[in-house]
Amino acid sequence: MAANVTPSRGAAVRIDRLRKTFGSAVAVDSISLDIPTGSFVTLLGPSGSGKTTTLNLIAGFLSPDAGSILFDGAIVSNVPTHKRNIGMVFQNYALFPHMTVFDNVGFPLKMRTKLTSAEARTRILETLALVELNGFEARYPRQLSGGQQQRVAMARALVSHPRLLLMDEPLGALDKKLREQMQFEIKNIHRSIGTTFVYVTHDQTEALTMSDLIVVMNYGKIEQAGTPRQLYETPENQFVADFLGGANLLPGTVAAVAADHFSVAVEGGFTVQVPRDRVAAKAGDAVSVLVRPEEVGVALTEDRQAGAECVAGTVTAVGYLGDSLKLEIAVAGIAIGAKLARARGFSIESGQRVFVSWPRASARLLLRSTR
Amino acid sequence: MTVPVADPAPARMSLNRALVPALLLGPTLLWIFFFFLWPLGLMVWQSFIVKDAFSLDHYASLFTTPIYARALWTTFEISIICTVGSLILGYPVAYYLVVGDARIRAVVMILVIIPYWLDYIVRSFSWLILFGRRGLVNRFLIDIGLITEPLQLLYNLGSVLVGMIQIMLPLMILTLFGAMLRINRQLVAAAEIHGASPWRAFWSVFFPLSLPGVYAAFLLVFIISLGFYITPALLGSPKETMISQIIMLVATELFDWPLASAAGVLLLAVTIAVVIAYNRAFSIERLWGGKEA
Amino acid sequence: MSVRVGRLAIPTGTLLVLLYLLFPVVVVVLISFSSARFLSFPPPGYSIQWYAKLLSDPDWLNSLAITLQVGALTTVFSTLLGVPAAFALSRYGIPGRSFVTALILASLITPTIIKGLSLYLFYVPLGLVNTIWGLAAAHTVSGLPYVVINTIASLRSADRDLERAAVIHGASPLWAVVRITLPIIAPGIMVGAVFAFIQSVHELLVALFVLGGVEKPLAVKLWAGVRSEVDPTIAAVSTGLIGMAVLAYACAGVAQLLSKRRGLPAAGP
Repeated sequence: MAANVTPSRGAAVRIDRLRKTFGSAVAVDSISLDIPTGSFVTLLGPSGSGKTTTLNLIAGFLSPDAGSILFDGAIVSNVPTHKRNIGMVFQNYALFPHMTVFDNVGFPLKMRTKLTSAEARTRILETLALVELNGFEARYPRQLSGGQQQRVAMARALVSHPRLLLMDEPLGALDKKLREQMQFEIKNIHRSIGTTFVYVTHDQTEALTMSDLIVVMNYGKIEQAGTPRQLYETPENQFVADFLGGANLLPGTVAAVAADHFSVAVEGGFTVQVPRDRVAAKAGDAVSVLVRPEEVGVALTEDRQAGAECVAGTVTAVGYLGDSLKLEIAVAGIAIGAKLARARGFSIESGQRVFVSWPRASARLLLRSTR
Repeated sequence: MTVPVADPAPARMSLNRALVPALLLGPTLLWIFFFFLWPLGLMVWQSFIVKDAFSLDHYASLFTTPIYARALWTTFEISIICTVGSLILGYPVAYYLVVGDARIRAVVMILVIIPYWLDYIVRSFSWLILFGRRGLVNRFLIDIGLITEPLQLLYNLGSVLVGMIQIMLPLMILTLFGAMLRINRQLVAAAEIHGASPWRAFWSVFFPLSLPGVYAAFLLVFIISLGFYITPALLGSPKETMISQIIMLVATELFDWPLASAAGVLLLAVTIAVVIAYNRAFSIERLWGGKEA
Repeated sequence: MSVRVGRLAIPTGTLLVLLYLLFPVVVVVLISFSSARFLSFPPPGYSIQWYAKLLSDPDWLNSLAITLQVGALTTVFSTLLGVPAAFALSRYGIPGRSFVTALILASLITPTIIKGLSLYLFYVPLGLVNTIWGLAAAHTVSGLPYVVINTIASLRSADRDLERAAVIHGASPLWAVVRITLPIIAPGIMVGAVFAFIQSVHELLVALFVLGGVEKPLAVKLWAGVRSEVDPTIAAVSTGLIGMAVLAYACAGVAQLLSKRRGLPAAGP
């Protein structure tokens, strides 16, 4: 059955020096990007970062000021939106209120294919099965819950087997629990049909959970593109480090460069070692040391281990999160956040003197951006 | 290095972008030109022609013939009183529509809108029945012994104003309501929390914020009052003759089209002048905002 | 003290104003069912004789026919012209848009006597005087603002993404408008069309100039009646007009309600 739903192949999308301005504001600033066929790519960024504009350019709702977009090597700039063979899930679903679920899902078939009504019916029901929404064909969108509407929107976007599926913050209107469930379902659907997905969100968890490739955008530019693991573990700049989850960014200056590590004089007055990798830094450069909160350990006594940093500080805030404990510790005037996973039975209070430690290998040097 | 591909789409799109709205809007603009602007131009032209030559004679006779000059003044006078009257009566109703009990409010709204869509003739005519010598009001006053002889309630300034204000009230109320709806009522609550009595909170917060709506409604009602014909013709005496009646009289009884045109131009000029003066002070959009709210 | 007075004064004032607005109308309606020959109120008894008289009078029926013809033409013209114009105004960056909008709306505040006089001057040489088409063309100018305003309001509240969703899933832009946007804004358009119709039915002065000489639309005949032989027939005609307006307005209201129930955006008034 699933074989019928599988389209031939997803499109490879290439974005080449794409630029779009609105008046004097540069929404998309000459970005280039290769989206491999069949991949799940997420454009991640804060509002105003240009991610939605990029999506609208791919869809053809906007025309670029410069640069081009290619589907499977062919420029689509002069292909009107309705002939680009794209499916799209909109932020508020944009289901046609005057049509039933069946007619909503059938709409792309009516527009794009010459299927007989029996064939179309089969296809619609198959697609509704894919999103687990059988039995709702005769309902109108207003009679459905938010999650169900979301599924209808997915089905409508997928029913005509488009080469490319665009999603514009499709889970934004759902509550947290449903959102997490839908993340896995969308991922599964992607795996089963192999269409290229381009997903826009400002939620880093969503991006990390679903994507093959994450493109972090800010002020119309691409900050970094890579797999979720690459971005989380080896961010190339402070923005990416900060946007993908909690990050301690200790400001400092490179004091010395050794063969395998940098020594960084942190502004508070202590010195830490950071592994040396591709980052080209020399002594005297202004840098930040990235330490993820979940790598930070907290102890009441000094327990200096090999290959770990350990500094003394004072607890300034304690937050109980159930599955973890969130601490803020002032170390020589710099706030360091810690997230302790196994917190049961561990009691700590604000004002307590503690020792903060983290494995040296987990730290990462970032050049402080001048932007 | 690939050269950025020149994009043929934008050029075509911008052509579409110019052509499509032109096609959509063109017929309407042509229609308005032929059946509105061109005739107005013709009227202006006519008003300046005496025996195939340019002349201001028609305007001169408008201002120097007492009956015409008087009608001009009467038009202004009646319009101002009518507008002020509708404002005074309409403001509390609009206020109630914003702050009153929600269920009653919906009913009040409908009861205001219904007369808005009733014929001017019908509404003016109803006062003939009520105010006639043997009408309801006179009979009531005689029955309770207040008077012995029927009063002359019709064919005076009072009856004209009663009729006109009744006609203009719905427009006044709906325009005010539209503007009041845009007032953030939490501001009034904030004033009360910080110690203002409801009375003072109203006068120091709500009322000043409603003033733009008051100006808009005042102007709209005033302009429309200037062009009244049916009500003064039916409920007024010759003393309450308004300019529209003069135009009708001159055109259809005296067949003096140029003179009628001159009076028309004058009325049009006053209307436009008021709108322009208003537009200088506020935004023209507001004029229409109220009705659609 | 002033608080309590204020609390009471405003509902009371509202009630009195409503009475002022509606009582005369109620009087007209009641008198139209009077059994008496005179306009006495309250009527001594009730009957439908005046309606029977009206419906057997070919003159009044002819007037009704003319009014309906002019009204129907006006509604059709206003809608066919106004809806595309509203699309242009709300969807495209038109140079001088506020000027164009003002031009379309200008008819609303132009004194009708001026419209009547100027159109008469324009029509006489063209031979459009005393034609139904001529009057409908003139009434269309006054009906357009209602259609344009209501359509723009509906377009503004309609989710633009619906049309985009249609286009990206294969509908041509034109087809997306026809299939998706028009059905969604139809109630708003209908409200505008109803207003265009009602204003045409009521309009007197342009009708007097343009059509009054030969064929009399209802408003013209009613006006003549009101100024001379005042008997309950006039009240019956008035009641008919009231009924027509209320009915038209109710139709628009029901359309709005239905669309709201279907989760579609609603439009003014």
